[in-house]
Amino acid sequence: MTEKKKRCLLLLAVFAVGLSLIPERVFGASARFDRDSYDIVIREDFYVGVYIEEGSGEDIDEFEIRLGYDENLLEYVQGGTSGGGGTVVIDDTEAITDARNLLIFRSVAGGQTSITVESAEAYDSSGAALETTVSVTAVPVNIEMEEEALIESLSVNGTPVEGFSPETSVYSVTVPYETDELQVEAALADEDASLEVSDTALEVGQNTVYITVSGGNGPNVYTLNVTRAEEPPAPVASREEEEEPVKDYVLLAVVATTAVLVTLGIIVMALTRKNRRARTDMKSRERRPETGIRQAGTGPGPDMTAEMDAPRIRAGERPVISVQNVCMYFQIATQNVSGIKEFAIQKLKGKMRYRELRALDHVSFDVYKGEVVGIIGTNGSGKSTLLKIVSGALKPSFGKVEVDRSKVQLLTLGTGFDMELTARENVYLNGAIIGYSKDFIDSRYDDIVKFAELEGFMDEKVKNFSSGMVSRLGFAIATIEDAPEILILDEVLSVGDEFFRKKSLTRIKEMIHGGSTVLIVSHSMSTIKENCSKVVWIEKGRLRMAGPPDKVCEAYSHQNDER
Amino acid sequence: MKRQTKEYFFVLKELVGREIKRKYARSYLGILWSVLNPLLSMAVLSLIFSYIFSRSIENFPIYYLTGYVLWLLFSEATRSAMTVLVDNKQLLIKVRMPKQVLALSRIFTAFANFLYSLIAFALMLIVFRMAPSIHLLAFPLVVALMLLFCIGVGYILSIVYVFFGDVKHLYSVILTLWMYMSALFYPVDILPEYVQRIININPIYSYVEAARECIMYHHFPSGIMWLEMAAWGTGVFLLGLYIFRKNENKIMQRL
Repeated sequence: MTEKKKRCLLLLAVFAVGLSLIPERVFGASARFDRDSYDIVIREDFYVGVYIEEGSGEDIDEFEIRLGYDENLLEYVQGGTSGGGGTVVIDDTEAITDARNLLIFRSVAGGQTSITVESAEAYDSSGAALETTVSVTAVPVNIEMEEEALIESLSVNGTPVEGFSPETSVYSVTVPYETDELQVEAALADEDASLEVSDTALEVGQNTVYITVSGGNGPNVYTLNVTRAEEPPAPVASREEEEEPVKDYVLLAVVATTAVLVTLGIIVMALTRKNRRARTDMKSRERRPETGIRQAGTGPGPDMTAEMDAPRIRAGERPVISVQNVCMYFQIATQNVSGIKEFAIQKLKGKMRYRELRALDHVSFDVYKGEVVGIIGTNGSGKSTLLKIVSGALKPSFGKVEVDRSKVQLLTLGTGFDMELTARENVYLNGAIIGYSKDFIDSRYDDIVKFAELEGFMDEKVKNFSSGMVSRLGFAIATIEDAPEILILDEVLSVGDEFFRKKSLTRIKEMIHGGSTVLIVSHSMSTIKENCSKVVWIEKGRLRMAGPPDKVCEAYSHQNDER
Repeated sequence: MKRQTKEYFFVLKELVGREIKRKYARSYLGILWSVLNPLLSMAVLSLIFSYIFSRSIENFPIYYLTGYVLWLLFSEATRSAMTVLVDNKQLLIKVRMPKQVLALSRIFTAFANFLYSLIAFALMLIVFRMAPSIHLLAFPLVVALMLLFCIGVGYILSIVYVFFGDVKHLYSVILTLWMYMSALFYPVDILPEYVQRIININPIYSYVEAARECIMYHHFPSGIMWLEMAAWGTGVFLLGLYIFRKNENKIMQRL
């Protein structure tokens, strides 16, 4: 039950984070006018074009745009449907991506006004509403003002209107809450003109007062947008209203951040806990290395100790490779945990258990200069792990290997070959990985090609090579260096056809004679017997036997027969 | 020591060469894509957004391209560096080589790509008649600091990815979020103030902004900006280095 709950919670958390991450896609229509402004004279018909467009190329099947205009200055003539009260509605049901609707208006008085988009709705063919944006909500209309019907000065409630000029007809005025009636005083420019002021009673909020001046050819209309302040509210209440949406977002941001932090926390915690466990495991094990050796000694190879004495222990000479009590443990989770989610669940349940794989268990042996040591053992007995530790690719769990790593050359075939590159490029790439310098490869390039017998193929892509060609190239690159001091060969002597095998064997022997110390891993007993001066047999991670090749190989074959 | 660094440099060079050749191995235009990709993406986004933001951003294509090439550097470098250790498992197990070189190879591949895309960028600067000025000299420094930042993030991710494969998927989501938070194709001031504050913390945005300062607006980035960039760059780099060093051996068991 609790496990289910935890899973649910985890899922929910993931969803919440996910949802907050999904970016919003905006499809939609936009409405706009055909011009930035309209400049006309009084009593003139003029066209107003309204566009509706679909941004993403989808069809608009139906739309409805409601326009607002000022009845005191404009008169609607035709083009849409009059909505009454200074509004015009245009709509259409054709499938379009972009349409222009022409409306005709007529100016009835001088002054400045505007036509506004009050609402716009669009639907696609399935009837779903498209998100409609209005890029230009209002377009100014300037109607030339009649000279004989201008106002020279204008004051409201005894104070002159700020920024007044006779040719400008729209003003905004703010009055305190206490003012419920507007006093308009205007001085006319022309004696013959007459003045008419619309209702001056003010409501709280927006009011519009029109001052119509008749004279000359026609009237001019001055528009006063009067804002009457709201009743002074309790300041606390208003602030709360303002902050609410912001709070919402902040909450979201906080939740998202916490979620991320918690996830990170879990990861870090998990990693550190694992560390600690691993460390304590090491400690507890380190206390009993001797028993480990005794186990190995009393194991199924009783003759080991006897053989161990036999190899030439060269007094006074330091071994080139000294493998001392090396152990390698891998922790393998018994349940295969491959992800954070499962890892977290397992952690929570406390069920994280590791099985220990002892790839190497207290292995010790020495290799002296000039020796050729073969390492044998069945598959999975730990041979390759041992080589990796000796070459330095792996660090042992404990125990140590004394060897000058700069002199070690691990010969494995085709590692770092890139099938998409040409053979030439691969020679440089692989050489670089092995540790050659550019100059060195440059100088030995021809030798490599010759040895690999790949003349004429070097500019082909390696993916077109046969596997034998690839291994030949790999062998050639790896062995081109003059006799490295310590050479480690991991199953490289079974490469290519018989002729090349002979050739590579000769090359290896050359290197051995050149003074190299060699470690060979092979399953071929004949190779081992022919080349090695000493053999180490590893079985299930333990040193089973070490000694002269004949004896060890015989014991090894014998054990296999027993099975 | 000197010989060693030289050797590593050679390895790095070869690895970067391989990644680049590999990336375009099956295409005819090859490396040209590194130039074309930012150009095309710029064209697409300019088509869509320059109308919307035409008032608030002058020279929208350049505005976008400056951010985009830097963003591409970061996202490519970190995304590819993340998987590098797992991808080259065989190599790591068999050959003794500094693991950092592998991660660096991916990052420098992205950097080489970035250099190619700078060609596209320079082309656009000429087309849009952005006169070069002395302030352009600050740009390489901005890029260098950003590269440090990329290396740090790449190191951390590559280690984490060895332990948790999920990170790959999680990171692609984070990258998307990060991109939207980096003000690549919109002006920052259209956002509410608290979001702006978050974006200002975003290190990528500070690099992008600094680059825009010196390329588009002909200013040197301010002292605080330098401080911010340097702090992020070196801080994350050192953190990445520390994490990488600490876990270098542990990952070998895990691979």
